[in-house]
Amino acid sequence: MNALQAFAIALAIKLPFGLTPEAFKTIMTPLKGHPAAMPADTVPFEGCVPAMGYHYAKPQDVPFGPFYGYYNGRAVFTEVMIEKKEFERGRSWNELLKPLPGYAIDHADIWFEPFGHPGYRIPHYDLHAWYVPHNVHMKFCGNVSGKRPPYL
Amino acid sequence: MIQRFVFSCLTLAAAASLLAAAPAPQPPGKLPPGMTPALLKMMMTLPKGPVPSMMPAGTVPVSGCIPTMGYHYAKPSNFPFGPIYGYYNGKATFTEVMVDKSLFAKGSNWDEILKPLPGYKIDHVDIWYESHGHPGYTIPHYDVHAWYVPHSVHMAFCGNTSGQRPPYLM
Repeated sequence: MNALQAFAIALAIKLPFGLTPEAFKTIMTPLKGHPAAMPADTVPFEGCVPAMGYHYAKPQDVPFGPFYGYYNGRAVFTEVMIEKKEFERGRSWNELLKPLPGYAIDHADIWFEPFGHPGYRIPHYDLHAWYVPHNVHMKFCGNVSGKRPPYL
Repeated sequence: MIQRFVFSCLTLAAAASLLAAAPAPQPPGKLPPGMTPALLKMMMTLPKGPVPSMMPAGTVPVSGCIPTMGYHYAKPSNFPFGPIYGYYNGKATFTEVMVDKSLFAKGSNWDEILKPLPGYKIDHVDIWYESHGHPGYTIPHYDVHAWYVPHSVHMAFCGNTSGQRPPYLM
């Protein structure tokens, strides 16, 4: 996607709070080539998401997951996205999150996305099992503040 | 999960009547589905002796042996949300939080909600819905366990030979 296309899409979809056309372009531009750290049968979803990195999943596993994160040459998380309605209904999941082979889970974050985000536009929870410390991934994709962006 | 079973007056009363050497067998009364007096006793019997060395300072036992889970330890000030730590057969086995269902309905966020104890690795995460809660935490809530052992291993903890989730933990 070039800058003009990103700007046109940004105008067309009304960007969420705090999201600039430049950040939108970063988020929407996938990496070229397939990182060795990502499972072979996964494909990229979106580009570099601030505080998260790049997302990969098997197409048939979208939108629930598992998604796998990639940043700077290594795998960085396992994620699932759970519709808020599922929690309201009362649901159970076994072995919901597992690390990729060779990686260890440092911590889990649970973030509520009241308006969803590009790729999953309904109220839902992002559950990330991170392989890196919190203060490390919070700065991914040029998120220099280390704070959770308002559009997430 | 049923930790803190022991601290419920109602449960204690029920257990007293069930475990006493009563001349005639008592009906199970208000025991949850699938629960037996023997299971109840096991789940209510706190581990004896010092707190295992890998448990964080300030934690105390808050359950007996809970089928599919093991023993639970927590700092009293962190109860009921957690973190709560699991112990079985000489090893730490999980980090857990218990999340009120209404918090999910409201829309909540938690950073670093689950972290493994030093020297342990998280194998997988299970999320179990407790529709009626349980004694000690009697509101509808989610048990979120970050397990250090494989699923098939902890599902057999505390003599749960079926390996299935017991109906009284649903």
